[in-house]
Amino acid sequence: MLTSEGENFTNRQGLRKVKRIWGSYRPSPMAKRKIIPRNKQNTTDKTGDRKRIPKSPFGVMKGNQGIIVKTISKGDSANITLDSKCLEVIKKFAEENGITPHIIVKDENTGEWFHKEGAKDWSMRTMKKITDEKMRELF
Amino acid sequence: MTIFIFDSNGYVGFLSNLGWLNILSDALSPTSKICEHFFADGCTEDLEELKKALDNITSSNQALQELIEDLRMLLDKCEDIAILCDGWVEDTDGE
Repeated sequence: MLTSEGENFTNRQGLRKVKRIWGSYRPSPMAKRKIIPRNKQNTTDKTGDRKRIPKSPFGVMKGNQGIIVKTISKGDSANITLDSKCLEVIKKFAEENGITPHIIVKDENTGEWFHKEGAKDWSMRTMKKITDEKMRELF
Repeated sequence: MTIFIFDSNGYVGFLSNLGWLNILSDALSPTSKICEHFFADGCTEDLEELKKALDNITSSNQALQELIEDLRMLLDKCEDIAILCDGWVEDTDGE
């Protein structure tokens, strides 16, 4: 798999592997709709925080809550973690801008949602299950 | 979702979020086949061709212009391949 230590992707087999990884980790529009009502989501997408801070790693902003949504597609392993260098970027941006970072993961294999607050060790094994109700309370 | 650039050695740098990736893709994909393929496939091995295709592209939108410049800078750092990636990898520590 794709790791920061690196597996060689210079050959065709590697390229196919990369494409498979990319294809299997597409975000689900459903994931965002779980957090922001659809009518508000359109506004946020077109004129919201993204427009003001294009270099923000956060796909969704609610007040000072920065939310990243990750979907694990059906058939894909849930044994995943965010690369440490990528997490460092998120952590730094959050600290510099007074944002509380959150990760929300939807596992389409089980239909379960997972959550973690703070930019520390975003691996699935350290996240906690979260109900829809609790998620609405949080955000 | 956050978008990073990876190459054959792993992490290269942060590009943007998914929303701005879509804006970047919408702006650049029509400009050349290589750009179109890069955003459609999420990766390319044809780094020189992609960099050449981006050479003369500018945008009047300042934020978009900065993103194009960021992309150029990240592509310069890439070896062999450029991959648009959300940074999630297999968790080997938990095994």
